[in-house]
Amino acid sequence: MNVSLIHRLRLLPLLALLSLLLSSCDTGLAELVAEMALDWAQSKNLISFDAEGNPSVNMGQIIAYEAVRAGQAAFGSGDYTTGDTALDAALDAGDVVKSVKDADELANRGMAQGDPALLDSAIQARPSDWNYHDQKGAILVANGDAVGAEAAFSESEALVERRIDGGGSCRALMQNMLRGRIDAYHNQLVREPDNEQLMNQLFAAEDELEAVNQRLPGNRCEGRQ
Amino acid sequence: MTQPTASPKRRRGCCFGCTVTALGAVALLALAIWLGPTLLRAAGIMQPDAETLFAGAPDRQATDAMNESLASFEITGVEAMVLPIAGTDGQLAHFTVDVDAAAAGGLQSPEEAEAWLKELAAQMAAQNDALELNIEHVALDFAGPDGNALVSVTAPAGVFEAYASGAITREQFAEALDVDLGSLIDLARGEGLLEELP
Repeated sequence: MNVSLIHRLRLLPLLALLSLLLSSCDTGLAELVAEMALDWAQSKNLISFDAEGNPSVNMGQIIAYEAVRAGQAAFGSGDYTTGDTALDAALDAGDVVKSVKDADELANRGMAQGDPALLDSAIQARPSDWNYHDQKGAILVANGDAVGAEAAFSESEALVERRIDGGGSCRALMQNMLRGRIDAYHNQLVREPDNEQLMNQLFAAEDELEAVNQRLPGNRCEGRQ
Repeated sequence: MTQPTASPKRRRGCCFGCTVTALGAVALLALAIWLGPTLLRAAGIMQPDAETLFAGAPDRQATDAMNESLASFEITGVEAMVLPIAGTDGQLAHFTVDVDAAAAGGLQSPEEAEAWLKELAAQMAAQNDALELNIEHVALDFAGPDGNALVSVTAPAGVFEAYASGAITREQFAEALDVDLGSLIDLARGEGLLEELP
């Protein structure tokens, strides 16, 4: 770490802490992040430099910044937010990523064991993720439960339709759903390689995906965005 | 003959009423706290949170493609996930950066780290174009040794692309970011650092 940065960080305990916490040893990346944090804090007037170049930090302002930013992100635009709902929420997307990973772990175990109960746990953790319903459906097809499988696929399609009705792209969301369903069939065919029903449903899903991709007449998104 | 007088009803006093009122108020408050954000979001007064906006299935094909691309360019210590954004046809590319693991790839100086960050942004942009992923926003979580994000930053994908191509400087890039210092402040408070400040 260069001398000027050490000098700046000594005066800015919060950002020094950032640098220390980011890595147990000095690394270029930790240093870069700390320097970028300084650039950013300066651009938001959270730190300032006097005429002689000495930095000062207003910790109260930094804390107030966080509180105000959180409020503005919740209720709309403001000086400390972008005014873009998705961009403001993106800062908390890490929690979503963690919950996806946890639920994926349950789902993967369920798929490997052919256990729909583990998929139910994944669905409980992330009820709006249609892929888990499709994975459960594929397991049930493999296990010979056609009625249960149909219910699971219907639930998946209802979730996707709801997203489309809410302003999502039909083509992108249907591609997402059908690819997930095809992957689930492939996965179960490893467990049940001679299952004819699985094979037939896989071919049908592949045809449906092709129809959506090529915008063929009668595809699931015909007449929609 | 005297009529037996009815024994006067014992008054329960105001304490009973006060207790019921207080309990009712507490119950109402709890209900408001529990349901308030949901109702405000449904009414469009409060913006949807991350869990609502990114509740659907991740774009797993895009996620795999992004991670394979990073691996093929030996960008280590980063894990990508692409999440569709509800209400739009756009997506968010989220990257979790394990700073120690990334540093193990040989990032000894800030210059090397900056080149690494630009390559990461360039790979994101290349995959976005090649697969038509429609990535509108990018988020980076810089995680410490315990895996928890200490600092989260986000910006429109165009800002990352401009930084990667050299169209904007690092200072301009930093200025365009939206930054969450919340977890860092919590940690600083826990360490007692805030009290030590002048």
